[in-house]
Amino acid sequence: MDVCTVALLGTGAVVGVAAAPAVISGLGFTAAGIAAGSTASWMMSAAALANGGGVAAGSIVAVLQSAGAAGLGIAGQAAAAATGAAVADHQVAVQHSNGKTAGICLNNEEERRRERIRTTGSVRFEEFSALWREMKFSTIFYGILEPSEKKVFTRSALCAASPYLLPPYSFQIRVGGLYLLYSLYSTQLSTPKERIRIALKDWEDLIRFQQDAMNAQHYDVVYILTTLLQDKAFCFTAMPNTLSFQVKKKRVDRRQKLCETFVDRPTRPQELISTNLLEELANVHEHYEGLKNSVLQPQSPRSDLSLIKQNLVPNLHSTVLSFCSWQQNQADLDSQSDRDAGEGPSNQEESSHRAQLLASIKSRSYSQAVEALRSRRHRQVEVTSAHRDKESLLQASRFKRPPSLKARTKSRFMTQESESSELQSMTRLWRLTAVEGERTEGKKKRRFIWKERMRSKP
Amino acid sequence: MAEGGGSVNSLNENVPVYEHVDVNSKPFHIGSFRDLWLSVLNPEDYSFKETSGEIDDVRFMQEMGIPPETLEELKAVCSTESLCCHPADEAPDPDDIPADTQLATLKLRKKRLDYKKSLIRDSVGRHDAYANELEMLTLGRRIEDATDLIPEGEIVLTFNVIYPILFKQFRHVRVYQTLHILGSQKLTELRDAICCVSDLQVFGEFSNTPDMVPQFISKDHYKSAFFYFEGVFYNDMRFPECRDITKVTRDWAKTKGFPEFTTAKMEETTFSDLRVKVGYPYLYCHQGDCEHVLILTDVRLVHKDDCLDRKLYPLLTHKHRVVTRKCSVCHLYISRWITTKDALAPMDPCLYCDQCFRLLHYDQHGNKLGDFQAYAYVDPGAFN
Repeated sequence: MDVCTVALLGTGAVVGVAAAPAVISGLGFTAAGIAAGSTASWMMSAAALANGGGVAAGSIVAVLQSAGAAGLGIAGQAAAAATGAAVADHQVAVQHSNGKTAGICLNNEEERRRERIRTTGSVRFEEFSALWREMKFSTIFYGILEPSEKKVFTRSALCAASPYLLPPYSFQIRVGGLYLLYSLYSTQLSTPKERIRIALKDWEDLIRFQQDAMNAQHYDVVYILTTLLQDKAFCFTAMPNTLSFQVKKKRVDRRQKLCETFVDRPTRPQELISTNLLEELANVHEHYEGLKNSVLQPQSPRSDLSLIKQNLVPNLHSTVLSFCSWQQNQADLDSQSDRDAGEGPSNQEESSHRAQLLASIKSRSYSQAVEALRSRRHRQVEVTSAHRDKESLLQASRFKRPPSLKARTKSRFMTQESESSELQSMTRLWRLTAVEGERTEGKKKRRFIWKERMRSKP
Repeated sequence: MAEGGGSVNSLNENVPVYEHVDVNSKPFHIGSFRDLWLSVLNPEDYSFKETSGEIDDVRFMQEMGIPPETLEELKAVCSTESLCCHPADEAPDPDDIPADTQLATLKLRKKRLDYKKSLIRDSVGRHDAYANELEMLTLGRRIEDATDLIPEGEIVLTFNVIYPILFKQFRHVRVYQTLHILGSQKLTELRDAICCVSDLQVFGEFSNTPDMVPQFISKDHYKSAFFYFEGVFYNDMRFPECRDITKVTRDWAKTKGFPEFTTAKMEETTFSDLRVKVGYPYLYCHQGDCEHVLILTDVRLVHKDDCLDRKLYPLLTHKHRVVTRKCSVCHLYISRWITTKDALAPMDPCLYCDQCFRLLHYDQHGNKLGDFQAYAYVDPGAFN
C-alpha cells in the first residue's frame, strides 16, 4: 500500500462517513498513537524524511492521527441517530440518592431551555439571563429542607449540565452549557458551594473552547469562563463523575443519549483536507515518488512502471468539494423538512404530504402481505397491520427532527446507486419499527419505576 | 492559558479515560496524573488564595485587547444579579416552593414534600439527623499550625470502604465508610483509619471468669493485613510479628495459571505511587479473612474549600450508622456479652449487657449459675 492509496482510502472514508473511523484506525492511526509497524508509522517516517526529521505539526500524519484519535466523532452520532435519541421532551431523569428518591427532571428542562436558546440563535449572555429570569430557573434550588440533600441535588444538577460544555455539542450549545453552569453555580444555595467537576481529559477541550470564543470575540463567554476559574468553581478531577462500580444499576444514561440537533454537522473532512494539507500532501507525494525512483534505479530504470498514483491531490480536493456541496444540499433539505414539520403556513402542504406518505405506506404494506402469504399467512397479515398502525401513529406524532445522518446517507446512496425500491422500503420499515418500539418501551419503563418508588417510599 | 501537552494529553496513558463508561476507568498512575494536571493549569487556578480583582481585570483586558469600558459593560451584563428571579427588596423564602412554578423538577419536589408532610412518623430519620454531623467537624476549621497546611496542588483520593461481605447473612453491599486521603500519605494511614469490629474481638470463653476478660483485642494479636491494588499485594510489615499472609493466595494463584502477583510494603508506599483504576473494586483484608471491598471513587486536586488541615486526614466523610443491638433483658443498654447453650436464655445465642449478664448468670459471690458459655461481644454500632 503506498501513500496515495492510503490517502485515497482516507478520502473514500471521508465520503462514506460512517466507515471513516474504522479505516483510519485500521491504518494504524489509533487513538493511542501510531501503531508500530503499520502503514501509518511508515508514513510518519516518510513525513519525517520530507521535513528533514521531526514531524511538522499540522502535517498530514498529525492531522490524520488526530482524526483517528477523535474517531471522527461520526460513528457515535450515526448510532445515536439510529436509536432515535431525540430531544428528551418528557423525559424524567429519576436519580436515586442517599436512599431517597429525588426526582430530577433537569434533563427535560435543560433541553427545553436549550432548545429555546437554539432558536434564538445567539450566544449572548443577556439573552440567556433573560430566559433564565423568565423561567424563574433559580427557584430550582428552592424547597429542599435538608442541607445534605441540597448538596446532593446541586451536585447532580451540575453533573447533568456539564456534558453540554464539552464536545460533541456544537459551539452554541457549549456556550449555553457554560452559561447554565455559571448560573447554576452562582445561584446555588448550599455552602460551601458545590464545584463543577472537570476531568483531565476534557480540560484540553475546554481550553480550545475558550480559544475559539476568544478568536470569535465572544467576550462574555471568555469573561464568564475566567470568572469561574477565578472563583475556583472548577474541581480538577480524574473522571467527570464519581465512580463506584455500579454495574448492575440501570442508569438513565444521559451521556449516551446525545441530542442530535445539538451536535455539530460533521465538518471533519473539510477540516482534514485544508489547503495547507493539500500542499503538504503534494510535497510528501513528490518526495515519495523520488524515493521510489531512487530505490528502483540500481536495478532497471523502467519508466513505464506506475510507481505512484498520479493526480492524487486534485482528486482529493474535488472529492472533498463534492462532499461539501452534498452536505449543503442535505442541510437545505433538512431545514425544509424542518419547516414542513413545524406548524406554520405550510400546514396544507404538510397534510397532503402526509396523505401521500400514508397512501404509499398502505400500498407497500399490503403488497408485502400478499408477498408473504405463501409462507405464513396468519402471522404476516398481523405484522403488516401493526406496521401500518405504527406508521400512522408516528406520522401523527411527528416531531421536528431531521432524519438521522445514517438514514440520510443511506437514502443518498440508495438513490445514487439507483437501487431497487424494495431495498429502500425494507430499510425504512426496519428503522421505523426499531425506533418506535424502543422509544415507547423506554418511556413506559421509566414512568413505571418512578411510580413504584413513589409508592414504596416509607 | 497553558496549552502545553495538548497532543501529549490524548496519548498519555496517565490521563484517565473510561474503560467501561460510567463504571470504571483505565488504570493510571496517581502521581503522574497529578503532574499532568499541574502542567496544564496555571498555579493560581488551584491555589488557596483569592486573587485580587483589579490585577485580574488588567490582565483580562490585555489578553482580550478590550478597553475598560467594554469590561465594565461585560461585568454589568454577566453579573450574578442578572440571574435573580425576584425583585431585590423582596427575597422569597428558599424553603418554599413558589406556587406558580413551571419547572418539572419543582413540581415533583412539591409532590414529594407534600407527601412527606402527610406522613406520621414517630421518629426523625437517623440518616437525616446525622448526615451533616461529620461535615461540621471539619468544615471551616482554622489551621492552628501553618506546617499542617496541605500544599497546593495536592491530590485527594476518596475511598469507599464496604462492609465485609458475608453473602450468607447479608445480601446488601453498602458503603460503610467514606474516607478522604491525601496522595502523599502512606497506605498504612488508610489501614489505620478503617475501623472494623473484627479488630476489636476478644477471643476465648469467659463464663467462669467474667472479671478476667483480657484487654487484648485481636488487633493487637494479629497485625497482618494487606491491600490489593492492580496485581500488587501491599503488606503491612510495620511490626515484627507481621507476616506475609498473601503467600497462600499467591501460591495458589501460581498453580492455577494466574499472572504473577507481586508484593510491596504498605508502609513504604504512598498513594501517589499507586497505579489504580477509578471506580474499580479492590481489596483490604485483615484478621486473616475479614475482607473489605475498597473502591476508589474519586481522585482530584485539593480545593480551597476542602479541609486543609493535614492532621485531619484520612478524613471520614460518611459513616453508615448501625442500629445497636440491645441487651435482651433490659432492652436498654448495648450488649457486651453473648452466650450459647444457655438454659436461662430465651434464645441461642443471646445478647446481654454487662449488668444484666452478671445479675442473671452469677450469684452474689460471683459463682456461675447453670451451664452456659459466654463470649465477649462487640457491637457493630460501637463506632457510631
